[in-house]
Amino acid sequence: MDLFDDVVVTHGDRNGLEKMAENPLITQFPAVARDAVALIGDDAIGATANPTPLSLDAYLGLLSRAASR
Amino acid sequence: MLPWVTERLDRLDAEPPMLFDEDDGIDFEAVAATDPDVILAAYSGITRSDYETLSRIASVIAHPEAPWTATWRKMIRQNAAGIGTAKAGEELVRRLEKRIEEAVAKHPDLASKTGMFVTHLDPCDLSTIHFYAEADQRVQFLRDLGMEIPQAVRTASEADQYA
Repeated sequence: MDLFDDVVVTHGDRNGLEKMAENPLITQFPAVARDAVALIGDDAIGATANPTPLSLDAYLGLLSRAASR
Repeated sequence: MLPWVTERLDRLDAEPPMLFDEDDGIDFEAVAATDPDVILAAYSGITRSDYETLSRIASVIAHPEAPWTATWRKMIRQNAAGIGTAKAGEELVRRLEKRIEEAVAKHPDLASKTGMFVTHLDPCDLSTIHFYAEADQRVQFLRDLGMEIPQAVRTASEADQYA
């Protein structure tokens, strides 16, 4: 698979991610293999990616942490 | 309500706005009960039939091209024009662009990184991976933040589709 993504953003939590990481197709994502995943959760924080100036700093923090992996 | 919204409302000492339960489509009666002057739906997935029903309640600012594809800039401009405050909308866009620029400057590590946005993964069927397409504003926003859209996402994205 030709997917050179540095960061993957997705809804979900750690548990879901671990389940996802067991899947052979998904481990083909270099970003997932490196754990460069910004998890924004299924709860309130999940809405953070839909841009609002009120959550901008929180969202940038998540992305930045994922990008550093 | 989202935590940062609650926080801001507290700071402004403001009442929470009326929220509607959207799980089962639009609650037209609840919308009508608020007796709105205008219904702002630039960023929405309303259908023609929703639009027609809502229009019997008040004037509706609908999405400009396709459901759930208006970016935040388009949303502000469209809604602002609809309530006769186009100039203020334009100023708001400029102010927010500046705010984004300042916030992004604190994260130089994100510049030119590619990012893709995977939608909810279905644990029962992990064989397909859905992701938000290029027209989706969550994806567009990554670009606002200085990131790039991977070629694979661009190739797979059809015009006017959000996922």
